[in-house]
Order: sequence, then C-alpha cells, then structure tokens
Amino acid sequence: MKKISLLLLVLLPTLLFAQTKYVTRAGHANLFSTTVAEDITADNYKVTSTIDTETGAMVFVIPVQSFEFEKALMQKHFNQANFMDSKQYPKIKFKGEITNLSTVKWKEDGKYPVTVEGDLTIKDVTKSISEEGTITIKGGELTANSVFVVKGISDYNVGKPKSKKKKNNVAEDIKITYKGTYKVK
Amino acid sequence: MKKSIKVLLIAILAGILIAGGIILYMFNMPHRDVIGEDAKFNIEAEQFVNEFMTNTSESNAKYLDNVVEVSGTVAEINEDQLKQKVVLLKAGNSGVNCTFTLETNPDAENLSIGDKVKIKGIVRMGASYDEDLDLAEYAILEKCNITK
Repeated sequence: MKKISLLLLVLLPTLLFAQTKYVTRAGHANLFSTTVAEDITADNYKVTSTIDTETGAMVFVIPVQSFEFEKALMQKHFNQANFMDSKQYPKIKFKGEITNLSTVKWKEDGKYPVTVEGDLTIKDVTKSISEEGTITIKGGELTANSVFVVKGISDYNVGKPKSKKKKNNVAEDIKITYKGTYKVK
Repeated sequence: MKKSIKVLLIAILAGILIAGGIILYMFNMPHRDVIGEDAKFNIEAEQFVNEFMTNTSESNAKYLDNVVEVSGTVAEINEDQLKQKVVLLKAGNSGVNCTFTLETNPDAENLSIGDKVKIKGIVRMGASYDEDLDLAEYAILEKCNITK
C-alpha cells in the first residue's frame, strides 16, 4: 500500500502536467494578393504558434516586420503607418479552437482535416474567422498546414485611403498559406 | 518660334526621362543591407529583453527596424524552413532569437551552446510574455552575423 501511494506520488505530477502542448517558433506564412497592377507575395518564417491537444486551442503570433517582399519598396509600403503600421502594431494574432477536436487522433500517425474558429486581430481590430486546415502527425512530430483567405482587409484599417474618393489600390482579399512543424513544449 | 518649341520639347522629354528613371529606381530599390550596416545600439541580451518586458511601446519605438548588436550566451542552435541558422541567446525566461542568412550561416555553424557571442541583426519584434500562447516570446533579430 505504502509502495503504491509512493508510486502515485511520483506519477502524479506527470499525470497532472501531461505534455499536451505543441510549440513552433519558426512557422512559415506566405501572403499573396492580386491587384490590377501586379501580384504581391511575401514570406514570413518567424511565426510562433501553439496547439493544445487537450483543449484544441490554437494560437498564432506573426511578427509583421518579418514579412519579406521581393521588392524593397513594397516591403517599405507594407510597414508604413497607413498600411500595417508595424512599429505601432508589431504583431498579428489569431486565437482560436479546433472545432472537430475528437476526430484528431494525436497519438496515431495520420493526416487529419480540421476546422479552426477564432479571433483574428490586426491593428487592434478583432474579427471572428473560421478556416480549414490539416494536421499531420508522423512519428511524434506534428505539422499544421492551411491555405485560407482573409477577406476585407480594409475592415482591419489596413490600406484604407484617407480620401473616400480615392480607390483602394490594394486587394481586399489576401490569401495566406501556412506551414508549421511543432514539437512538444 | 521654332527654336523655342524645340527647346521646350527637349525639356519635356528630359523631364519624362528623369521622372521615369526615378520611378524605375524606386521600384527596383535595393533591399536594406543589414549585414553591411553598423549597429545603432550595443546591448546585453538580458537588458534588451528587460527593456521590452518593462516598457513595451517605448522599446518598440526605440529598437524596431533598427540594427542592434546583442551580447549573450548561446542557449540553442536551430534551423528554420529556409535552412537559415537560428541562434537563441537566453535572457531570463525569454531570450533573443537571432536568425542568420544563407550567406552568414557559416558564422553560426562554428558556435556551440554556452559560447559567449556578440550578434548583430535587425530587430523585427520585441520580447514579451504572451498569455494566449502561455509562453515567453523571444525578441526576434534577422539578417544576423557574428561581430565577436
């Protein structure tokens, strides 16, 4: 009896703090938009994200200044005050939950389609979004992939021309492609 | 009369060419040469992180988009999806995450955990504790190279 309780005492912390949280600090996000003038694309390899396999919580933090464009001028415009204003708002954040959590078998290798619902915050404007993606589990390593479109970027106060007469020369819809490989925290 | 029109036309043409040249230059403006740039600030990793933790907005204004040389101890060496080396200088519960480039990767390849180094790079994000991530976020430096 004494031995069992001693064993429990030893095991209890591991049971209570089971490793259910996966982390990456090097996720890749690509943004792509088409305008009349040209296609615009930028890459960011500095996305921090966590996935809690127990609660289904998913969080993404994207450092705005880490987006790299092919053209230096575009990168400059992207970070400027009337666009992303990245000195004032250095992060984009998404906080949500996997809605079909029970279909993901975290301990079994496989590819699982997931739906993630939550709040996207850009420049202090928060909107609810729901996007699809896949979670791939292979040999204890977890990879999350998603391609989705952020609609109505001007609703987040991004790229809104000061004058109402002036037409917005930035695409309203931005396609995001994400890939992150996670490890247990 | 004829002569003055000729002069005017030449002037207009020259104007268009100059304007076109400027636009072309702006459009093809080269990327910032971070590696060739001198550091604006030289600071210990510990102090750098503390400044962001205690005064976020002031530190954002001071450091973001500036080239900084940070000194500290190597705690981790990783590689990102572009095969760029990522060196973590630990500072308390947080740290400074320094991403090298394919050109400066050899700098990082000679490092070992525990080494004391000075790394220079451009500041993309400050350090903070994020309650949603429930993690300490590292300060992010990119286009890094080793200065000492």
